[in-house]
Amino acid sequence: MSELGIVFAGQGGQGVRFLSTLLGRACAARGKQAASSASYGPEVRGTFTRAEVIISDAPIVYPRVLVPDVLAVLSQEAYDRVHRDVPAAGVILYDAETVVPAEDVPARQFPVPAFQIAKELGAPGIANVVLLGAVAGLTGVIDLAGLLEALPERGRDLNAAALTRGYAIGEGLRMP
Amino acid sequence: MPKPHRVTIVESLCKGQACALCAQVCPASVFRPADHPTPQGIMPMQAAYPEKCTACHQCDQLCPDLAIDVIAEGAEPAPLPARGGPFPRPNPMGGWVERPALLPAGSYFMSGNEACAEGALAAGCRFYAGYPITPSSEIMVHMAHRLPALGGTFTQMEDELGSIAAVIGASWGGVKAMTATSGPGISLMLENIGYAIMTETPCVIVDVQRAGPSTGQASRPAQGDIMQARWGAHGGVDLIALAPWSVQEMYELAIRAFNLSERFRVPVFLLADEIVSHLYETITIPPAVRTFERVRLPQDMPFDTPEIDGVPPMPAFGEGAYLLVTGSTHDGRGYRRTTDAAVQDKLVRRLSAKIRHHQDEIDDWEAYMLEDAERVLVACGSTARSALWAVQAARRQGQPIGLLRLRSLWPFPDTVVAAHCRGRGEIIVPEMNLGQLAGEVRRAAGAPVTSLTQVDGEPIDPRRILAYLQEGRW
Repeated sequence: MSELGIVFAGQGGQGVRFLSTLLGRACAARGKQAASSASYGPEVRGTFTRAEVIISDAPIVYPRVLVPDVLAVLSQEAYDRVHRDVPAAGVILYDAETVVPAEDVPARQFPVPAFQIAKELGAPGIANVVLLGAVAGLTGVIDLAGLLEALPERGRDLNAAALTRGYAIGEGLRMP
Repeated sequence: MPKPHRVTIVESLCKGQACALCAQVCPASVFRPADHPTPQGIMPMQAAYPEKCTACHQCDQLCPDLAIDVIAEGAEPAPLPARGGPFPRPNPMGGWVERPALLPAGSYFMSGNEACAEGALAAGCRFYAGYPITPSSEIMVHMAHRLPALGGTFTQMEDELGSIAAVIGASWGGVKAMTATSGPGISLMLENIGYAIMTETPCVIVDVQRAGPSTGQASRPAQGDIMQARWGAHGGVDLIALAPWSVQEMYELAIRAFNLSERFRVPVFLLADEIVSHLYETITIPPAVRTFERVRLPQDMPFDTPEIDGVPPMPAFGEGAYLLVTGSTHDGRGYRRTTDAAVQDKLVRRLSAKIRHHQDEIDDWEAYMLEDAERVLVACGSTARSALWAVQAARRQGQPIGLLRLRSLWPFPDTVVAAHCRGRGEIIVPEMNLGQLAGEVRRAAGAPVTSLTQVDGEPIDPRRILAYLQEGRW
């Protein structure tokens, strides 16, 4: 595998940064090289936030994503600001409820009912984790078990349910 | 009827006639100058008429150098805490030792700031004083979590001035100590960093650089403090600065910073930047780390050596040595010599020479594809990762390009830069400031130098560097 670059974007407080760190930690535990970072403003909540992670079998030279293979967005503002960075070979996953996608986009785009599933699970705050499950399921960069092992203790059951639901959706989107 | 009290003066501590406070205060005229000089060339006071002593204790309480002991009749003489006395701590000779790394050996996924804190702890750091500031705060948070359980001390100070002052005090208490901040905090610390240089106090200062000047952009990277670290404190004497480019090196160079600090009794900067500090990466913790332990050895000269470039031993307070620590010009024993030209000259030259003459122990760099390179990139910190990406891309297109990555920035590795750059077609220096590193490289390289600067608070996109290599466009 060459490098896989994944970008998560949303509003501060949606848990975007948590996703990149969790995915990086899970892949690192599987013996892969991982580098994750975020860019954000001085305000903690409400503004545009972008987090990213590179997963690779070889040492990672430049630690930031130059061309995203996968973009996962949780808000319209995030979608509007980042979707043009994704090339034709890339994939965009967006929340079905909060994002209206543009039409003239070369990349393949798929909606994920992240907020809807989170609400079904009784915790709208974990829409981010559903989306992460979908990214992992789509790319196959890590198996579901590896992702579950990396979850923090707090809220483990809820997060595990969200990951599992999202993972199944992601797997369904894989190219045949 | 005079009583047989005893009065003793430790001659090596006495300032003699220049002080003579004991003679002034004594109601019984016990004291007068001795008729022989000490090995330091001072005429000490002597208790010439002890039989007159009334044991009023004014002299021993007033003596600024604690040189006088008055032992009243029948009282047991207190044990004299003489220089060169027993060593209350293990390993007074110090030097290199191997100690187990604190974390179990293996692979971890952690941020640069966490790795920096873990490296410091593995090096033996047991005191942290700081004031939080983005993008360095996670170092402080991690230290607050870890230090108490390790028997160390963590304290949040009222500001950065207090932070570095507390670190210097802890170091003189015999503990490896550090603080972490960003550019605005360094600006506040500079006065006491100069004090640490003058008093030869080992300490580690982590500067996670962010976009400035002033408060600038708190969460954005920069490399604008390279010159500030070197020249910020007045007096212009050398110190040491290291520049990590990865989370792994945040760990390793934190250890190295402590080792160099203890080895040379000098403040050491870890010049990180926001990119490596907030980056999460896979890192490997080794089973053991090599550390340099302080040479404690209480003896007469904690501030001078027979050699012009020596590092004196550093006893701690409470270990039996009499210690005077001052930022004013001082002799080998720590006494102020603020009008003595020879002492000032010798001290300043040794403070610099103890580092300059040992640059082979300090210089640290990595060379990438330099053998046949016609053009050479020189970079440090996270910018070097952009540079290496561009070098690899250019190599794939057949361009003979190489990279010299500097891991130690101060003292500037002149000979290393000259050895790798002399005679090349072009030396290219990308950096996140207005050309601070390029200026040093230009001085040392012996080849034409191009400075590529970026100060927009964003990481340098490696494709920008590649475009310059291909088309000369920046």
